[in-house]
Amino acid sequence: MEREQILLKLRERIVAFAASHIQGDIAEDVAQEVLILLHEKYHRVERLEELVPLALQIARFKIMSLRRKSQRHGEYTQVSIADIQLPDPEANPAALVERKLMLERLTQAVGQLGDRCRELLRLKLQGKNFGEIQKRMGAQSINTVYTWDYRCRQQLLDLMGGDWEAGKR
Amino acid sequence: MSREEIQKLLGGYATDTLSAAERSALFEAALEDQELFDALAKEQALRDVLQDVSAREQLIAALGPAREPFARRAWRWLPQPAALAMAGGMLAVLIGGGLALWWTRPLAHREVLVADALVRQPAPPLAAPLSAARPRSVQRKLFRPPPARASEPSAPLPTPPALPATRPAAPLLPRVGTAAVGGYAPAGAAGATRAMMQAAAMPARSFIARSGAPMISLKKAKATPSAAANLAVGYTLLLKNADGGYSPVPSGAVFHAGDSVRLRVDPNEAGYIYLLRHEETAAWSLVEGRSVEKAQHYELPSIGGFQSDVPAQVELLLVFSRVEQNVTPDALASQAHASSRITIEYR
Repeated sequence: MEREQILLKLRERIVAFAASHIQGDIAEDVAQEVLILLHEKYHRVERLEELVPLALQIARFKIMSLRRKSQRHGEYTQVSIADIQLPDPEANPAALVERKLMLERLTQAVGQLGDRCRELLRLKLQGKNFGEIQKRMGAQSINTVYTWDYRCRQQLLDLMGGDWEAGKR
Repeated sequence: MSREEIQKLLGGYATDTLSAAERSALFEAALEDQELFDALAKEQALRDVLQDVSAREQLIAALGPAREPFARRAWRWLPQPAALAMAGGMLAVLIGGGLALWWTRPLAHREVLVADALVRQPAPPLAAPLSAARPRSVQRKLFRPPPARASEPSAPLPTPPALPATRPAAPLLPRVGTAAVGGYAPAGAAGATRAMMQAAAMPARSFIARSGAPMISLKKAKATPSAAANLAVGYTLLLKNADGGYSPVPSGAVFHAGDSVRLRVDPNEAGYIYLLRHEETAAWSLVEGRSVEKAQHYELPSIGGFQSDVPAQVELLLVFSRVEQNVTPDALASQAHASSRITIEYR
């Protein structure tokens, strides 16, 4: 799949995703800004495996930035696109605080997981891929590991209130 | 990969666990599926947190110590005295239980036939009727060296009456090797004469096997001189399976109408085996006779099996001899006595 095709599909998906979190017209702007950033700053990134995570990260930062600005201004319904700055991938104090809070919630939640899920998550955090995890945990097939991971992720998500980020619901 | 399988890869996105192929499959699917793309976008928050090495370490610490493999845990657990005692106790129980099961296992119904030795009997007169059998106490004896005959002349025996020409003669045993099932056709007067002739020409010792199952027979077997006790044949009752084969039945098994039963005999020496059946007419008929080799298994009858469609008793007689017997079944049975019978009861 070529870069242009990937970007077209990415725009479509980002608009739909952003529209479910912010207003529809702003969602289009968010998607547009993500594409501009990918085009201007990351124009050498062409592979799907790199473009998608990058686009998701930028889109997330933009949406977070919009949300913070709205909270600051007390404007939950109207945000001027002119006020929206391009996302800065570098960490800022607000992002650091959010990350710290999320890490605390994660730390509490993982303590309530079962043995298998804890072991699975530990191996994932240690950088093992699913094939290595299959061998370490003695699973009969890699699909078994996929299923375990899917259930453990769902369990962890439930323990964190249904969303990784606090205050989304 | 199916959509469901690709959805299961979501958990690997945040932790960067996916291989290149898995990542490619997930992203391609996400570009086509809005729901999957949304889920992936939500995972981005977790991914951003887990990109930080210190955050990963904090989570790993929160997960507690790594769970050791079972073998290593067992290796660490075993050296403890309580664990050793428990393991030893369980091993002792297992061994004891196994031995108990082995001793109480159902054994196939197996009886041993021990032969009695017979002294040579004087040949009956040629004209004597076959039914005029001598008293059993005289006919069957445990083997002893024959006493020296007295030299004084004995009184001449009266001449027996001539055999009527129309009287049916008892059937002769066929030559061994032509197995028969279910009895014989009358051989006629000439056959009877031949039987008597051959009976007179019998060797000095013949052996008739008796069932060792009844206690009385066992006691007699113990009292048998060693020369005779060396001649023995074991037999096992076999029951026909659903697949048509015959297999040993455990001791005390009850046979039902329709069951097909055979005997498996295991002689300890080479010789001849005759299986007789007691008919309703109180006569014995030969089921099968054959030569046998030492330490070989033989199934009798070799064709079919004993069967009864109604509750009944089938009385059999197993005769084992070192030499071929050319006498009538009744004559053979009369030498064998009742204690040599094998009874199969159908209920």
